[in-house]
Amino acid sequence: MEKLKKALKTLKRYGFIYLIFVKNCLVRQMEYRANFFLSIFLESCFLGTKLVYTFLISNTNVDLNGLPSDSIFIFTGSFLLMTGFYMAFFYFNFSNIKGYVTDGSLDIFITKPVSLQFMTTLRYVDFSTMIPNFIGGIIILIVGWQKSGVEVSFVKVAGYIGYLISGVVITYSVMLAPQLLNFIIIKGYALGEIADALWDSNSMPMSIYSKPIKIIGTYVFPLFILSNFSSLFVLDKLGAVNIIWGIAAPVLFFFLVRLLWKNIIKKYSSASS
Amino acid sequence: MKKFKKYIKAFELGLQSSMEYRANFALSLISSIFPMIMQIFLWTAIFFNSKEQEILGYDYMQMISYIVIASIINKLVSTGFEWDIAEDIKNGGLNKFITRPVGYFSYRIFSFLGSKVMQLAVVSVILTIILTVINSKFSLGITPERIALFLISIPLALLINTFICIISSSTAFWMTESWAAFIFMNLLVQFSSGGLFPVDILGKGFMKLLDFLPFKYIVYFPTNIINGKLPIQEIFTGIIMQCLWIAIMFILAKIFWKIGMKKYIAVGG
Amino acid sequence: MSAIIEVKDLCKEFSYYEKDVGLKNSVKNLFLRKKLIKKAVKPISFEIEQGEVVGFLGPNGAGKTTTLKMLSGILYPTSGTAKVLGYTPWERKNEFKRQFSIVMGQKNQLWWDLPANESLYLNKCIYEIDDNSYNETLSTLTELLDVKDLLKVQVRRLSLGERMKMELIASLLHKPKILFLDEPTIGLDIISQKKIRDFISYYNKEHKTTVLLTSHYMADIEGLCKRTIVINHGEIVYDGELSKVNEVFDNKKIIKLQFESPVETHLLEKFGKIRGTEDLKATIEMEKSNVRANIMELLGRFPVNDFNIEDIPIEEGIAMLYSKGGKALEKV
Repeated sequence: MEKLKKALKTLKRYGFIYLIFVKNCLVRQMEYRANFFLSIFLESCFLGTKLVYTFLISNTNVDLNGLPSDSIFIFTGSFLLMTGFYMAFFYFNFSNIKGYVTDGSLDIFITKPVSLQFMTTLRYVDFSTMIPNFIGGIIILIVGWQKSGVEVSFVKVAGYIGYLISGVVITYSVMLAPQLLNFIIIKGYALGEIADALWDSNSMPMSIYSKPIKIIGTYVFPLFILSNFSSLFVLDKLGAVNIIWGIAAPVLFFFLVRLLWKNIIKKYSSASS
Repeated sequence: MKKFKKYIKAFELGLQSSMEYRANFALSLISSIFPMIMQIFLWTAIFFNSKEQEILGYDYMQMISYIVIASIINKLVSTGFEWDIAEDIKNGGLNKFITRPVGYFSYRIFSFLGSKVMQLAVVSVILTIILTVINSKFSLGITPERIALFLISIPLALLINTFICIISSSTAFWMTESWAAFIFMNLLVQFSSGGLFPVDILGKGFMKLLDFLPFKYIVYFPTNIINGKLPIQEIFTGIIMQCLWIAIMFILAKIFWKIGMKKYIAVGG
Repeated sequence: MSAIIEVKDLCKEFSYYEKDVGLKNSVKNLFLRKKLIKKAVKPISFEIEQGEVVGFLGPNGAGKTTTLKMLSGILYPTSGTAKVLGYTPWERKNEFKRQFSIVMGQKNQLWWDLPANESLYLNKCIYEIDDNSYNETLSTLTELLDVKDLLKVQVRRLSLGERMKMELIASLLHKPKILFLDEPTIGLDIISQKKIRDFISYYNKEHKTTVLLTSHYMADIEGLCKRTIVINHGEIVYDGELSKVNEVFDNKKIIKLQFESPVETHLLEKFGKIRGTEDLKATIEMEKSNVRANIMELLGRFPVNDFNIEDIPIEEGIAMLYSKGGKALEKV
């Protein structure tokens, strides 16, 4: 009982600190309005190119290894939503990690009585990249939902949101890992490039890939889970095994990345100067 | 000759720094493979599930060979020094060049080429291997003629891209948010150069628009030389167009740069 | 009574790769790299009691910051032990973190684009300070440092001195028992430096906070610390009262003279040891007590058009310490 109370108290405290982060970031972004709007504009351009391509593919009216061409919109919508989450809450934090190491900010974080991982990976929230992706994503999702004739039932919606959440946790774990490995390979930005290139491989449903790739992408480096599972669930194409895996994987990989984090920090503390 | 020595040194420095960042280089090569792989799978799935032999003007072999070749060429002609130039402009690094008998343009270009040499060497080898494989499997009809024209078109494409990059960099003279201009230009070039997918699948209207812009000559044009899609006559016309665009871009780059430098010096660096 | 900080044989080594100049070596580096070891901190030992203000003095690269980083838990030592407030710092227990603070002169913990009070509030939540304590402490500190009106100003708009004051406040909100300061006055103008020093001195007297500060400015140490630990090349070269160190460093001063027309060197010899002459310049080392009289005579007799009175640079002083038989470890 005591442990539970303590855990809740800590949760409340971290929640409060996180809200302060959000508030601080919002104030900060509003300070630089030009940057804010430019960022929204650019992100919308990226969005635009993805949509052009999606429309193109769907217009070929060919089904993608079992997925009717109209359903592609659901996948694109999910992908955009995930991209929104990733960019808003994680991306800038993850790509800053190397900077923290070189400029010594990490040292200061270490001395604070707050989880280092929490502080480093969640400190920044970006609203400008969030907005176009969320709006675009939801619109396309609805378009796809209707075009594919999926009913709007409680189960479907709840399940979709559930797998979306699982997708967010997986995103955190799977996209953090390459940046942590950057600690070991000190100079360079290329690991980040690879991670980002991999991210975009989700812009099309995973049905297009060959079996071995699908297996790796779902069970080993589960990038495909993030936008595919929620979409597949809604289309009633998520097999029983995957329904369970979609719930277990986020937990598993979160623990794995936490372990990786702890090990990397140990290494850092032995080696920085 | 002495005058030239400093540019050779710039070249060397570029080469050295690219070797320092060797892990970087290897990884960035690998990372450019993923989009290509996704495209291959995508179009394979489309063609596999379709009753048609030809989609959007390409048959399966043509599409796949385009995607592979274009990705490689994309890497060959890529630039990316706009960030360095912007740095110099913002932090006054340009001052070093104003006060010394070294031309900034030339310095940058030589340094860039130096860092590109290793990349070019490795990628060219890869390209040769890939082409031989594709040619044997899909018989693209690669004649020595085509190869020669292709080899001419590549440095031309690189030059076009280089000048676009310089023009793009010059926005740093006027905007603090030049990063936005860079990203926008990069996106524009990526999309319209044909680096990811053949731009003609976007329809006749779009192609007409591209006819008035230099972008398609960066990747789309060279790729279609070597994969046999373009008839010889059109290739010659195309190369002339490349030269024309180089001239235009060069003049534009010089103009932008001149105006920018005036402002830079006026403000005091 | 056991010391609040106990350090025994603490040692830190770093490994790094050698890079030679030239194209040929770059190519060689592609395949083979030579690994070298740097001994940043050779085994050092010392103890600090509660309430002391101790200065770590030494030139750049001496190992001061590395030592501080080990004591604050940022770095793991290669060998040796340390106990701060009874904790082993690199175990990084939260209870330990809540009782100390570290301020690094060149690094900000405050959010750059926001008013200082937002960052301070964040610290309140991180250290779990209750509202009353927070308001009271904030009010007292801002008055002491005279920055009350600056709380709402964005950190990036503050001057370096004002920023440093905010950093100090941020680090004292949770009433730490130990304060680590790494080059706190670096880059500040003389007035700000003095204000910061006075504040630290006052705070230490009021709250009996133990202060450990590193600097390569003598003035910091002179102004604040009774006890100084001099570090050079990772070793403790002197540990004791400042006044004794002064005897080694400050007994002598260096006078740099600039003349309008040449002056013969042998005419200057009576004033002290000639360190160097050049064209129309001369550098003379003399006893501190003679400086005033000597200057007056020099100005009177020779065509001096500029002069400077300087301290003997620390590196030389430390070299002097070394030559006087190495480590003279005196404790107060």
